[in-house]
Amino acid sequence: MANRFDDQDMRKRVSLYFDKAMSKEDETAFLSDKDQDPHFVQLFNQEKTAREFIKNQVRRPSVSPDLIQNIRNICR
Amino acid sequence: MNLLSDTRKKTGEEIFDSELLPHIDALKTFAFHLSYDDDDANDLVQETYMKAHRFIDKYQEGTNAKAWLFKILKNAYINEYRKKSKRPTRVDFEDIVSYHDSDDSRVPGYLDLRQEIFENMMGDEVTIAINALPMDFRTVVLLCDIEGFTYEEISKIIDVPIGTVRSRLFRARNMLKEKLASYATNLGYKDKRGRAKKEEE
Repeated sequence: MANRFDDQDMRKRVSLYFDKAMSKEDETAFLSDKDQDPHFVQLFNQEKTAREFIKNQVRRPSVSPDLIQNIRNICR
Repeated sequence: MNLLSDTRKKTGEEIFDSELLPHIDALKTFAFHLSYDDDDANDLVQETYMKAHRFIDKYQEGTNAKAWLFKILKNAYINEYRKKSKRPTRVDFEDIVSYHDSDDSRVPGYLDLRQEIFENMMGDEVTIAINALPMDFRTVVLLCDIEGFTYEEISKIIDVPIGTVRSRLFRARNMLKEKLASYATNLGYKDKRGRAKKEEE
């Protein structure tokens, strides 16, 4: 069965949605279109998973109390 | 006169504590991924706060403190730390970027990674893959995908047009997924991209 929406356009819209770069109207239309096409839902979920994984797994080195104190000392 | 001066100083310190210091963790993460080194990252963060403190009168209370601090840090890195970098000179990707700026939709090869691939990754792969990106691409991924800045905010932080932000992001994400896909291949996953299309044909 052919997809309802153009693949390239779907991917572009998914990206814009997760980047919070859509207007309210575009976002509403996007969510409505997405739910009408299983392939669209699949792309959406893949992108969501990829972004959450990258965000959650990236190394976030800790900030030592010494660094905070140094900054406070220098800036006072 | 003294009273006025004291009031101003106190307000500046309050702003510093309540609006600027809460972003120290995010700044440290950004600095670490720019410099690849914990000590250099600490120096960068410290320098950022020193500059912010020096120019606190330029900051408007209640505006976007995080974006302001990230811009200061990015400039500090560009001005001082990149010169010291022992890493090889980066390849200039601006020609590629300029091409993609014209029309994102013409760029082929958007990559998908299946959910199960992520479930089998340890996490270090993400850090390694991000740090392997050229700096201009690494920066936009860190600012957008890790810190959640909008295109407009990123555009102001790195001083490039919004179209360039978008095209760099598009390319950076594909580069990142490509790197993660090679980890997936090493984990035993086969690259099935293109197979469905061939079967259709």
